[in-house]
Amino acid sequence: MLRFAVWAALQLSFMGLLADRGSTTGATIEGTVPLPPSPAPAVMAKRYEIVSKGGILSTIPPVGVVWLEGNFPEEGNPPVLQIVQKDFVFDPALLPVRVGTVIEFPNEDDEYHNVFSYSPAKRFDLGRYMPEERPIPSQVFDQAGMVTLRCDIHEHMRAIILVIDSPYFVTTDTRGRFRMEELPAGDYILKAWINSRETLEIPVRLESGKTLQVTFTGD
Amino acid sequence: MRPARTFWLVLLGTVSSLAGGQSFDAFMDRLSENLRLAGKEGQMRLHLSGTVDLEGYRYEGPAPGLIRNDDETLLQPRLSVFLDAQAGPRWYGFAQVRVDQGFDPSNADLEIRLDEYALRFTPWEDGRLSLQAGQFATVVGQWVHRHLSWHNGFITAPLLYENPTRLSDLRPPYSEYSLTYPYDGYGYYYNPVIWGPGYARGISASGHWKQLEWALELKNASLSSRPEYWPVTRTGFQHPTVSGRLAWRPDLRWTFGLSASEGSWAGPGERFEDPGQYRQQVFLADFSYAHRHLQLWGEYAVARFSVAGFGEDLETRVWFIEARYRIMPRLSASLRWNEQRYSELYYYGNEIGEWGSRLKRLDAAINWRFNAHTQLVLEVDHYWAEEEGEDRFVFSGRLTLRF
Repeated sequence: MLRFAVWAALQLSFMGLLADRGSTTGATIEGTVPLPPSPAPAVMAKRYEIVSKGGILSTIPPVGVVWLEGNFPEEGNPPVLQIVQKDFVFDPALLPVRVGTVIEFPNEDDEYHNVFSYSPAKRFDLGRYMPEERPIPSQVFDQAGMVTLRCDIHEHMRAIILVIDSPYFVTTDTRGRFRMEELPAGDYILKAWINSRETLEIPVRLESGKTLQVTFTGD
Repeated sequence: MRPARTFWLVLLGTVSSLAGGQSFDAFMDRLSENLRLAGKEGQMRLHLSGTVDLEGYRYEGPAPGLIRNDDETLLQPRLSVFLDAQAGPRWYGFAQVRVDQGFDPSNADLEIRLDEYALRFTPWEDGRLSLQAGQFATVVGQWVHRHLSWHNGFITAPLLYENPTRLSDLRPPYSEYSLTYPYDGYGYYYNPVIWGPGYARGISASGHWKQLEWALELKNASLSSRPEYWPVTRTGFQHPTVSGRLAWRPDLRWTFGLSASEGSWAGPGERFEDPGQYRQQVFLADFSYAHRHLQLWGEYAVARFSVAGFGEDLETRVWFIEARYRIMPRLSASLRWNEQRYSELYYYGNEIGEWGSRLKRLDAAINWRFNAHTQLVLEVDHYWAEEEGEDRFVFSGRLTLRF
């Protein structure tokens, strides 16, 4: 069960204009999100492989995703993005995209992968395909929600696509810091995805030309 | 068996209700993350994982294959726990512990076994060479790559890996004539050409050069030996078995392999006076193809067994071709054709019959994944044993929870 823990400390900074880098048309939000500790890194199971590849898998520290929820006018087609399968991991391991985004899944290893998802927001199975195959297998993510990406061959491979019904979102850095600029003024809900269990939210009022400081605090 | 049926229904209902939502997958993912350990800098890593399986069998007549059971139904629970460990880029180790009613399905009491353990050293990160020691699956053929429950489209193994011949490593045959009769009791008392994944103990070297992959192993027991003889505490290295495989992978889709194995098929103990005179030779050709949602495999094996005092070697030829197709993201279907034939026996120059019953078997299975951690396989096998006119079906089902 996902639990939505909501708590926020909100500071409207009157110094925001100074930190606004001279923007006079859009609002800015910056702040921090509490991130969970890094889980222990994965191990690749290669019990029955004749050719033993993929020694130490790279570790990817957790990051969060922050987005503004509200009624926004439709914009043009979202860009085509990629999640690469390389060195037996998905890169990036967390990708926020807008509803309607096409994501390609290039295989850059010299072994097969089999990308699939059973998440209700997007159920698909691309099967096995070779690195040089064109067009690169892709999917349209047309429903908001969390999509967990897996490889049917390599159990340790996992990534998350966060499909968001908003054009205003950003990925935090590994310390949980974020900054969004050129936002439309108005009243919105600011959401922060921490992990599959926890999404924080807070109502915000954005004023043109000002910077809002937000600190999310989880339970 | 009403209790068994009730148990199945309750379990299915529970899993179905649990398994529908994304929250179950998220819970299992968190569980998996909590079963990992890492040292500083992440150079030393451990991961525990496993499966919980519940298999059910329904058949008429004697128990098929290597099943030990007096009834016509059998329920087989199994817990398999895997440890995978990586120390730097060069060292990798693994182990498999099982709790079940026997390595092959049976109505025996629950037992716990260390089935596999090995340490592997890979000097170069591109995998051109790996050295391994321990108790581990054979390098012969390709079926071992998918023999575990989660990645196996079937519950039963191909005939090559589970159909008992009339030879037994418990005792030598009395005479050529004794092999012209069907065996008594369970097939489990006899030996197939390759006993499942062949987790015997030994050492191996493997690697690749361009499109060629190769592997060699030296083990304490033959491919046909029973699981009880795999530990070195039961079978020493006085009569080792040498096996090897050479495979050509022109691209990721295709693999063509040739394997060979030679060793003594005699079991340990006093009944085989000179185990060195009981030789098993296996020559096996295999192929596989995989692209998008289709996977194909085929293996053709010729096995020769020599018996002390017999004039001629006993030969059997066994093959299968298997296809698996993912129809929808959560639904796959599998089909397999198996066939096994035996050579003629001679007694003072006269033909006295074949030393086994020709057998054909068609296996069909569907696989439904409730989510990324739970799946159900339903299988039906149709047997045709030409000489004995035996024509029967075996039904089986398996529910697997992966963690």
